[in-house]
Amino acid sequence: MMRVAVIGLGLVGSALVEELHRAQLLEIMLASDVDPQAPGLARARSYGIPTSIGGAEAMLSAVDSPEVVFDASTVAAQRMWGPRLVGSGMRVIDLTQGEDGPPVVPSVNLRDLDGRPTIRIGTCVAQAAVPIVAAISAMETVEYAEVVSTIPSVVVGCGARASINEFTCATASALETVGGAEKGKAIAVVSPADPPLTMRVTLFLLVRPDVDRSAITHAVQRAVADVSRHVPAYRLAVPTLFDETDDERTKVTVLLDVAGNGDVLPTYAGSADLVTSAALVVAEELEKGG
Amino acid sequence: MKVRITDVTLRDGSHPLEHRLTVERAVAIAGALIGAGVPVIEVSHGDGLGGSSLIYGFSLVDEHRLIACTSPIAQGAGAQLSVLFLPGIGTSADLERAAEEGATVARIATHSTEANLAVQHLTKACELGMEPVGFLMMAHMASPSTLAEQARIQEAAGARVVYCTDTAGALTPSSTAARVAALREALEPETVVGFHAHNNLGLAVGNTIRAIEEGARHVDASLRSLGAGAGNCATEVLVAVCESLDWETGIDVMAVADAAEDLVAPLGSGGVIDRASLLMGWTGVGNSLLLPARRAADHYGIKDTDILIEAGRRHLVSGQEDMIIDIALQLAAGVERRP
Repeated sequence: MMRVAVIGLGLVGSALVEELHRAQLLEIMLASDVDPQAPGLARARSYGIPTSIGGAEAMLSAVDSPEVVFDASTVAAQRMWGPRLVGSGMRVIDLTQGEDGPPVVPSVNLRDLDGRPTIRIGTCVAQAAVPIVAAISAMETVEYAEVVSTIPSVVVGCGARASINEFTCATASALETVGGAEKGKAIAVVSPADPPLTMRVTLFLLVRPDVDRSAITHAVQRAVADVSRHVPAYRLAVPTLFDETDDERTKVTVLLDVAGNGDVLPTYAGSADLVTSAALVVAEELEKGG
Repeated sequence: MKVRITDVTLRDGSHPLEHRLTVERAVAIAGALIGAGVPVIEVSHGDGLGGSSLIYGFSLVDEHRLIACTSPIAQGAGAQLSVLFLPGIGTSADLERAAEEGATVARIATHSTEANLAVQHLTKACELGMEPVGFLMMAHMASPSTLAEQARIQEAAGARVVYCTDTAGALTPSSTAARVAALREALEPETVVGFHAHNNLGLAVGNTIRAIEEGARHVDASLRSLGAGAGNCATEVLVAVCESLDWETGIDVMAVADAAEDLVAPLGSGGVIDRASLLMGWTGVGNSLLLPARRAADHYGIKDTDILIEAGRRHLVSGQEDMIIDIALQLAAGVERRP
């Protein structure tokens, strides 16, 4: 069984610890944060998982080092420590949602891991949007893809808030590099509504006029079905919409709702589920020798 | 007493013009404003840098071109050019470019209870040597004490000015006064308090005056109140009132009234308190949702006010224009189901 560890026990890290504990496919040998109050520390202890408040440094000083480290800390911490972890022979699955480098969106490019030492998991919004863009760009040239996401305030942690610029840039870039759009644009809105709304992801795509609307509608449905195998509450809010624009292109609008599975975080925390489930799919792939 | 007015005609006014400002028009308006003595003009897409998009509307002319064409006018007179920036919409690259093009004030806007989303870009604005301003939108949704706590977060991140921003035009003179007073009390004496009004309840000028009485020293206005929804506080009116009250703005009343009359009135899209925009102020819905709601209403054959009432019920905040589609589809389905 592959030995793994988790750095960063905030919103995403806690959810990950829960998933790892439940899956029992991987041996979780250490969970670490630098904040003694991090919510995931107590959870990890309650499952008998060894914990540390040494952050990433705890990985380097561990007697028996992990093979794979899930980094759910912050973009700044990943920048500082990532190279040292990799230098010590560990593979890093980066869930900090902001660093450069081609991101993984499992239903689209899981096969491209190529022994990369650091595997960047695409942002939560990229996980929701890119499979749809990729499905359409396999059929038609997507001139422009724009994703507008609304994420409930309570599930946007301190780390994410401090790196909103990286989040925005990484999401837009994934629409191009993984989704295949010629130009990508990402807009993220944090909603304070109470009770929290479900995470909403809206995609607007520009394609040529006279596209085969029914083929696109079906491709979107298949892409949604693929993602929902890992994130069950990922679904189309309404059927795909088509409009002709003034400059004679077709605007395709896809509205997606992403609830969470409600295990650790409440059901409105779909954003964390998107990222943790992608990271687990990657880890399973690594265990298979990817 | 001195009051610094930032004219937002070339930013908030982008909304009613559906982001179709031309270079010629922007240069003429900027020239008239600066000529009248306006100390700060704001130039950006209505939704801030990077706002040009399918959801909010593409700019006819790239905002960076508008900034580059208008900043020399401001600089020539020792005035400042401001840009609006919403984390999650714009990126640091947009801010860097605006600074290179001559923008000297960066207003980093977040929802009133999400102040810490601004920290990264307030820091960036400081690094770029721009005047860092925090801009707390939809201020009616936060209590005075909450708003003050949030303002302190932005002050700690480097903001030298923090605005109470009435995006929905929902504040009254007393609720304006309570918020501005709370900010004035919570912030360091050297941190300036700002106020940005919308006119949905016909109170934009009155609220702005009330804000100044409570200690706000930076306030926003736009010619002929050209701005999202019901529009802003009219620059020419505010300047005249300030003069009557013996408050110094450095702006010439007649010159700014001429600019309003000659350059903005002919555009025919200045702030009007119609049924939909009144409802937005009354129920507290952000003004940028007005035109999207109106377009969706036309498209699906429903009433714009029904969409806006539902938007208020769902506590939509600035930027959630995509939810208008969702609401419109649901309402349209309901209409079809009715016998």
